[in-house]
Amino acid sequence: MDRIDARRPNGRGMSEFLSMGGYGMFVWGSYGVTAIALAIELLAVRARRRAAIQTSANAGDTR
Amino acid sequence: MNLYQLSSPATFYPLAGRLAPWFAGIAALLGVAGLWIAFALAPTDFQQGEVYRIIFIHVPAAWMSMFIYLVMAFWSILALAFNTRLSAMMAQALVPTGAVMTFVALWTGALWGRPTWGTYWAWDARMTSELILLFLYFGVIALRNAIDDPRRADRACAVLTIVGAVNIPIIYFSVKWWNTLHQGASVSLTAAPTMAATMLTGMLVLALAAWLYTIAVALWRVQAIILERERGASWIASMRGGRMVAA
Repeated sequence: MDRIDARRPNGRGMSEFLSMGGYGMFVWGSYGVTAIALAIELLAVRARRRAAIQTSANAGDTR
Repeated sequence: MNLYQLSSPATFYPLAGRLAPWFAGIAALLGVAGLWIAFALAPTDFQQGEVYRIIFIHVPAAWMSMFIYLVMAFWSILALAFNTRLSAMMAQALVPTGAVMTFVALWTGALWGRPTWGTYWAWDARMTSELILLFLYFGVIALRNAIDDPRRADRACAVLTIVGAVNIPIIYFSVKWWNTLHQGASVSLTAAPTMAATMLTGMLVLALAAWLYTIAVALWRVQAIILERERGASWIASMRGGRMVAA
């Protein structure tokens, strides 16, 4: 049933958007876990790269 | 600069550092654009309703999971044939990203399967072969960790990667060769796509974003690998901290 949102008569309301027609758990479960997985990978790569640069820089100083 | 020079870690390190932010930036822009298409422009599917929107990450992730493995196999062949260090490092740098993409494809597939097929998982040919792909990525990581000598690890991982590549056509053609719960391809090189233009556009934009993301992350990771493995080499010692980060 289409309910007209008084604040946004021409658009879908936020709660309707988040509910994804009743499939919110599946849709946001997909997008959320994907975002977390990519964030973890990016943070891990940044940490690994920084550690490698730090170690090499220290080795250079003591040479 | 010729290809031979470029295959030297000392030459490639600063180049990778300069290129990676560009790939990451364009990937982020395309990601935002793709999500906008996926949620604001693409219409509701007349059969599945809103749950079909999982397609916008499921399909790009599944494509990347297979494509990254093929690129790894390519670098592995070069590494074995020419014994080049950088080729093996490139293959090594792609493994975690391939595993992430495979995990995302399986995870989103499960969450899509439950409401549309009534089950999170089935042991059909498509899903089983994709799960084997995840185990291949894990296997390559485990094999590398098990061998202390990096050059021996390079060769062992290259052989495993190349042998495992036989799984890729099995994944791709599984929906044709077997009677799978998983549907056939909606987009292929040989036939017109069987989906609405807006949906297809969103999917392709996000696939391109995933592709550029993979390149950016792999370039950053290969920089770390180069430093970890070339430690003590004179070219690293001659490079000051600032250049190491900026380059």
